[in-house]
Amino acid sequence: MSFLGFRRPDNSIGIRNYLGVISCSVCANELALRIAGNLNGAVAFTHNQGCCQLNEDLKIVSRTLVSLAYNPNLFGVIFVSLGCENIDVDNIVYLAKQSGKPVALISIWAEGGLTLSVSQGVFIGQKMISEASRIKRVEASIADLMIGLKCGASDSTSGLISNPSIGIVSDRIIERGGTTVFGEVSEFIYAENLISKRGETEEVCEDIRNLIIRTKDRINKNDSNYNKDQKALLNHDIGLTTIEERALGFISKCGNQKIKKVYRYGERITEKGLNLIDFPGREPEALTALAAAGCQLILLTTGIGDPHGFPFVPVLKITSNEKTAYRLEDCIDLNISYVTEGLYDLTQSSNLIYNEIINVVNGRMTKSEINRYHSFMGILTNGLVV
Amino acid sequence: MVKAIVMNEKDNVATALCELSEGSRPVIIGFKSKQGIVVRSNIPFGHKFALCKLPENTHIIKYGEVIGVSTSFIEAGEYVHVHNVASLRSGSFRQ
Repeated sequence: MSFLGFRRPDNSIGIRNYLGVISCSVCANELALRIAGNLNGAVAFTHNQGCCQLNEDLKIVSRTLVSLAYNPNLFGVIFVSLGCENIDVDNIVYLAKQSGKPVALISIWAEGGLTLSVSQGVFIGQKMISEASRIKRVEASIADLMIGLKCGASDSTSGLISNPSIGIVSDRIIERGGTTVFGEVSEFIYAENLISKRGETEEVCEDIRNLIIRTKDRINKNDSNYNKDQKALLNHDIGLTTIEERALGFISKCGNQKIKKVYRYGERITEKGLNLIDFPGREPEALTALAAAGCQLILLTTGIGDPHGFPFVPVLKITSNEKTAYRLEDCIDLNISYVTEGLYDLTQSSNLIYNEIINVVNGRMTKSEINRYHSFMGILTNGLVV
Repeated sequence: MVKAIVMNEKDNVATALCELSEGSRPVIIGFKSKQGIVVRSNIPFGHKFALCKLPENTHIIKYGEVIGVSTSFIEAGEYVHVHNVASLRSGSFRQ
């Protein structure tokens, strides 16, 4: 099976062709929104980091911003900054340019204020978009795809139907030479006995175990009650009884392939096959990690309904809860609840998802792209703001 | 038709795929060997019931894996949730 995509200078294939207006720090978010808002074909990426943070966090933010610029769905990038932020903006621009894409920088201080920055950004952006629009789609294969796997607002149907269905899809993408990516480490801590055996080598298994230990430490350092009430993880009303049950439902979305490599937050994926990134469950940070990884598309399974999208990566929303499919029709792309109407046949539901992937990579817009539910994204840092 | 699903042949609980009322006999899909169980109370959509008698301190199995342990005797067809199941992991986070 092939599809038509946009070839980038590094030979990656985009399924969308946007100009990304990427904010370097919290202080330039307004500028990013105003430039992108004036341009048909541009999208803004905003976040709350990039200044008044410690070195380790600034490194995470820098590598995330550079990785985002490499995302194949972007034709080119305009970075925007205030001009005084701690983060090394020039280095970010330099590294992003290594992608071979057009990359520009607009700084409020350098341009002489907001008004001039907006007009200069729109002026440059207009030229870039005009260039972008001349690119013709070329034939590409499943092997060119990198697909993010994510669940949000899960219920007990997620673990029964939608997660195992995208697990089958993930296996199929990988069998055809493609790549899939998952994370949300806090969600699978309680299935660690299973997931930590899934590394392709003993070294990768060790990396998975260490990732779980680091995540537990991070949680313990911040909230000693997390273990007791676990409200962040478990909603008893929807039928999930224990955290083990939830974690087992979670890992079914990773299919049966071996994990090739474990990555830090904000890193780009280098290996074909199934990959694991250190990112949390919350959408603004999780979806950013998947976009930075290089995913052209994200599959998001939801039980009770999750509206989140990402500015330049389509997020295909799948539910196996029939009520949610109808109640949140404007958020949900695909209803696979009918699997429970007939025979329980996940081949059927996974085929439906696979076919919808082909539609979306060929240009069909997802609900969150149409709704533009993506104005406020995030980057995960260790947290101390000074 | 009222339905419930069993995810793995080792499982000793089924999950309701619709609201099940007391006394109903849901059709089991997935691993189908456990047909004919009569549910002993109303089971909400997405919640679980026992496929056999489960003495106190029995491992509750779903997806073929342990999801917790029974904290009291559970009759076949009885509602299985936080009132009669405890996590084996919630106390061991630091280990």
